[in-house]
Amino acid sequence: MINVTTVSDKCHPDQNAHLATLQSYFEKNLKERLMNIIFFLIVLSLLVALGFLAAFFWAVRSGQYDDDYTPSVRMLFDDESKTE
Amino acid sequence: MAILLDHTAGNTTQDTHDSQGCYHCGEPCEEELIQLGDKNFCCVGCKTVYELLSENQLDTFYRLESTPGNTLRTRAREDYAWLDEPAAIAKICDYQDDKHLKVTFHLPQIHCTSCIWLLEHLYRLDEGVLKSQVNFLSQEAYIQIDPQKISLRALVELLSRIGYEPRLQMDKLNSEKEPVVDRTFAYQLGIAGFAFGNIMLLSFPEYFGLTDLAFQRWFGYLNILLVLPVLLFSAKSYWQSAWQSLRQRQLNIDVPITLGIAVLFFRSVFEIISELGPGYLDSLAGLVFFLLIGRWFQQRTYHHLSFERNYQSYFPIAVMRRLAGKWSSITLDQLTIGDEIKITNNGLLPADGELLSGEARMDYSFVTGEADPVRSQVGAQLFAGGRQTGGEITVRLVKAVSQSYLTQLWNDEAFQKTYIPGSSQLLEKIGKYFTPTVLLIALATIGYWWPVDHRIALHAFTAVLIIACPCALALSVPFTLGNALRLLGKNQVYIKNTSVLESLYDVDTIVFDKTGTLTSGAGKEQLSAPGAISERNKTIIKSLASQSSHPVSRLLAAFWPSAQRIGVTDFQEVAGSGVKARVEGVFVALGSASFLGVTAKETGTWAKIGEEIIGPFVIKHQYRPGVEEILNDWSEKYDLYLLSGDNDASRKQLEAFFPEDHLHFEQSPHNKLAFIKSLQAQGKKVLMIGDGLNDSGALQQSEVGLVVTEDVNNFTPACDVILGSNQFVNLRGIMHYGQRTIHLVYGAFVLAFIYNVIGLSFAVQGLLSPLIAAILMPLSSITIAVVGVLGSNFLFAKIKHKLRG
Repeated sequence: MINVTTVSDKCHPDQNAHLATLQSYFEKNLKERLMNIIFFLIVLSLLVALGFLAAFFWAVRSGQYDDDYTPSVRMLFDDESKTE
Repeated sequence: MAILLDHTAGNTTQDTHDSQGCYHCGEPCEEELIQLGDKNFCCVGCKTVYELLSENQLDTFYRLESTPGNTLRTRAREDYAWLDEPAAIAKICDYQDDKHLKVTFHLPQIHCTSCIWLLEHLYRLDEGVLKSQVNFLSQEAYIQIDPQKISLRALVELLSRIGYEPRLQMDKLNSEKEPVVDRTFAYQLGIAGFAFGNIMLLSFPEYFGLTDLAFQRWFGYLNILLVLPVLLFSAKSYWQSAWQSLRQRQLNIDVPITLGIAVLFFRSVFEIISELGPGYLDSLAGLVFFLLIGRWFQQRTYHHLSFERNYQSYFPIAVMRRLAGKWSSITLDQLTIGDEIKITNNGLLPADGELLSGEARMDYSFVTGEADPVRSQVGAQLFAGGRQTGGEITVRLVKAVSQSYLTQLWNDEAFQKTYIPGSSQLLEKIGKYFTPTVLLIALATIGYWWPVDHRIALHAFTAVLIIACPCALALSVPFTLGNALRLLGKNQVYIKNTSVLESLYDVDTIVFDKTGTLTSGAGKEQLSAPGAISERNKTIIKSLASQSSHPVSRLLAAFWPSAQRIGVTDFQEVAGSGVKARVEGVFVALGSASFLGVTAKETGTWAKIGEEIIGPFVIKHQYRPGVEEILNDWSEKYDLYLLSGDNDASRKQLEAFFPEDHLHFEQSPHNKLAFIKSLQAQGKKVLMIGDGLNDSGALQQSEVGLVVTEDVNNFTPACDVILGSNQFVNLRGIMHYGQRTIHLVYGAFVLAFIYNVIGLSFAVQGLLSPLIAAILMPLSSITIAVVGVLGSNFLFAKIKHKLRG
């Protein structure tokens, strides 16, 4: 929750009323807005997770899990120019 | 260090600067020493490879590892003319068109980093090679060539020339095109893991009591959506197995598992739709995920080994046949009765036939267990699987390849055995009692609560079925035994699958083969020589012997490492009889007594130097180290039998370990198979320990078939366990370890039962909340997995120091 009281103490009395309305507005809508954000984030997180699942499927399909040893050796070979 | 393993390491760790070691293959230059610059080579072949590689700027081969090459000294040159036949090419290659030809070769010589490097740089040796890729673990090379520039035959010859001779046996003719890799399991596991993680995430608010109706409904529906693929796809094999079992009116362990899964799903869907609660979908996804992990752990594949080989993997792929007066190569599947074929020294006879010309000296040791080669004259009947040791012979076939005396063995019903992956006799046994018990408890619960409150009654009933789901129980076998397999595999004890360990536990009868099993096999023969031979005579015999490739000559050439070699002149080899030459003007001969023209008292190879006769030199098959201890120890615990294809010359020696009537000699492959069947008819559980094709039937028929092999890359008949011969001495320890791991599984069972009892005590009271289920189910699974893995590691550490290597 946003604490408005500490702010209002130092402010001009006229502004206090304004801040009070703001506060009530925030509190009323906070839950609803939080909900919206969470739904949005959940959909987003699921999409991200689905993206990774798709990446995993692609990796399996392209045979990257068929040989899990040789590539680790191959990557250490020095590149040499192919022309002699 | 007590560990034994890694025969591959021996090749790579030798000192390059060892003045006597071959720069290419690292083997000692005993028989020959060729120098090129500051480098030593053990044979012309190795030197040629070195020159070829350095000409093509492939020196990196020698920089990546020291002495990485494969020796070419012992390799006989094969004739690959049959690879010019379009029909043969079509059968060997994976794919071909005008511009491309793709082929996968099994190259058992692949053993180090340099091998990978060289084979993947093949294009530098021949521009016709478009692409080459190595799979180190399965020792395979996938090669793509341009058939316009290099023929398949030229490719195979190139590979052989640099020391990587493709394994081309008869079974290659029937192998599938473009082997299809089944990756379904990876997808199933991926989906289950994905769903498990996300459902857990969406259930988190629930765990902390943040209940809000809107959240709950949305998350609930999302969870149902996420769990559907797990239920229908990931858990598919469990549904199938349970259904199979029910149809056979049996209750295996998958029945309560799928029952639990089904109840979990329907109750959760009901709770979510009627807004009663969040359901147990996280537990469901977790359960399937853990079960699949267990299955994955249990699957241990030794890529370079095969447990399914038959005679086709042993026979060559092609032979020379006479057609219209001309010799030409032909693949084995095209041979017909009446064909005339030619077998050269060290060649294998692929079908029964009649000897037309030459003197046959057939080595049947792998086929019948007979230790000594059989000599026969023209007109004699020869049997498939024999290896000619001597000169060239021609044979007329009287049987087809698949109908020969030996190969008929594979028509026996013993070879129809099928194995269901992941099955476990232990779990089957438990499942029989487990399922009825759970159902009884569930019915008792509903019976107790129904009069009190219908809702609690249904709640408690379903809770019992959910919590009793024997997930932890089902995980004990894969994790404990799967890890045991892994540990043993690191020590050259290769076990086909976890159910073999279970069968091994029940064994009460052990049947041994003799030749190659109790005695050491091919390549490890010892030579016995007469006592006093002068240094000069040693030198002469060695010099002469190293000119010939006959097995006795090869043994003689390496027999006195310290003896020098000198030049010989007028060398002449008479196939099947012996060799003669002049050394420093003296006439020298080496061979059978009749060849030397002397009357011999004993059989064996004799040497004649001038007028002096030295001999006999006899090849001796020695008993493996540890045989005595093993037989002594086991004769108290098991019923021991010996089935040998050999004659009963060693009966006296073996009677110390076997009861007199348990020794059987001159047994044919068919006899051996029948004998195992007769033992089983008496209710015995048999472990067969053998090595060759002649044991194939017995190995297949017995509860556990164990094969001892000098080199795991060599041919081994179909079996359950492949044992590197240096591990034979540790057989007792291995057997003991196998039994201890089964005890450990029983321990894990007890632990799983305790968890089940705790869960059930909540469930019968109707107190099982999704949170308790979400904690208890993964917790029990993880404890069982940890206990299984750590326990089997601990047990292995205890026996490890006793192992010898």
